[in-house]
Amino acid sequence: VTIEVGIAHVRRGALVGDEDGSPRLRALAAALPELLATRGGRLDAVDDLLFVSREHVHLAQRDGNDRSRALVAVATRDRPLGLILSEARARWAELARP
Amino acid sequence: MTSIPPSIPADAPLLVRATELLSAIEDLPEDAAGVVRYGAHGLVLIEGGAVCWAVARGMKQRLTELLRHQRNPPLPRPFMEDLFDECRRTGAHLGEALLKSGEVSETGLRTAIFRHTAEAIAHIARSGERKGLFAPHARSGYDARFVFTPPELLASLGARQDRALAAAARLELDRVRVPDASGVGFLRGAGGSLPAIVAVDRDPTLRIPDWLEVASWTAGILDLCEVFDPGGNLASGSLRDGSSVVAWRSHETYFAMCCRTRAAAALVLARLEKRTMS
Repeated sequence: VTIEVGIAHVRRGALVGDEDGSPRLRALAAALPELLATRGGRLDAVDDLLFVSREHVHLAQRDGNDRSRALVAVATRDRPLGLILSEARARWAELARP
Repeated sequence: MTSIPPSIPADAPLLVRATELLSAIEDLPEDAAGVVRYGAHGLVLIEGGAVCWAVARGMKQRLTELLRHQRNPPLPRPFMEDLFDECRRTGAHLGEALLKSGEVSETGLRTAIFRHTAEAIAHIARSGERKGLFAPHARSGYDARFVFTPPELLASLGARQDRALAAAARLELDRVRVPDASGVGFLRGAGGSLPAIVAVDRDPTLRIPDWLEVASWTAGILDLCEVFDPGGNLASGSLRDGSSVVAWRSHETYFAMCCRTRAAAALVLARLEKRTMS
């Protein structure tokens, strides 16, 4: 699976530290303030989002340990969604490892 | 079954009025049973948050005509008149007598009562009356098979904008629905107006404002999906309470499936993902 993962600041909408992601990953990080914004309704507390197109899968998920951050991933659509999600979670776990 | 078209087209102003009228009914206490009167324009019988019956001034469609047309060819008028007379004499309920006669099925009876009720709601909404006067009554025990939720009635009015598209939306929800999930199909409103709900599942936990919020979120999230990748038309969001919303689009119709569990959302996504494969 061609997949790229990263950690981003939810409010700033930027990848953490000096991570140099692809334009797609940076665009996803930049949209986080809007994507995970608090709106005050029933759908207030969106914790993770998935976007699927014919070519790509975009994922954003709030970090359970630090809610000011989110795990982001972009993958090419070359496998079933379930496998892509598993791969993204495994890669995020690696990233979170000290 | 033959078809009698509805007499009032559902334009945006009518849908706004109907939304207000039906939302006000939803706001009545859950155990309320009685009648909501809209001046001289009509009345709605409600029980336990459901609409049991409605009638409005100026309605051209009569229930007996709708009932006749649940058969193809329509039931003969003399048959209906005889049955009606008998019910009047004996005090029997017309619907029950029809079912007993075997000439109209339970589905046909439900369809006829639903259409009559929706037509009445459209008439009352068009009159401009939004909040009626509620008066409780002692009678209760309407047959649960023949009562309707406010979102169902609103969807039936929205469906008047494009009946073929609404029928396709209902089929789409049937194809995608899984246990622990309920869905909505809608058309986006032009220029920021309310979305027109054209199909909705029965779900006692979701009221009209909830469905409208889900629709608004769905439209927004699919816009973002399209920004990330032109042609992107499937998205999902999970909430902190473990529930999820899966959103997708099929041509001009937008859909959302509210899933009470992540497992249900995964199943819905699995059903939809093949459509977006390259």
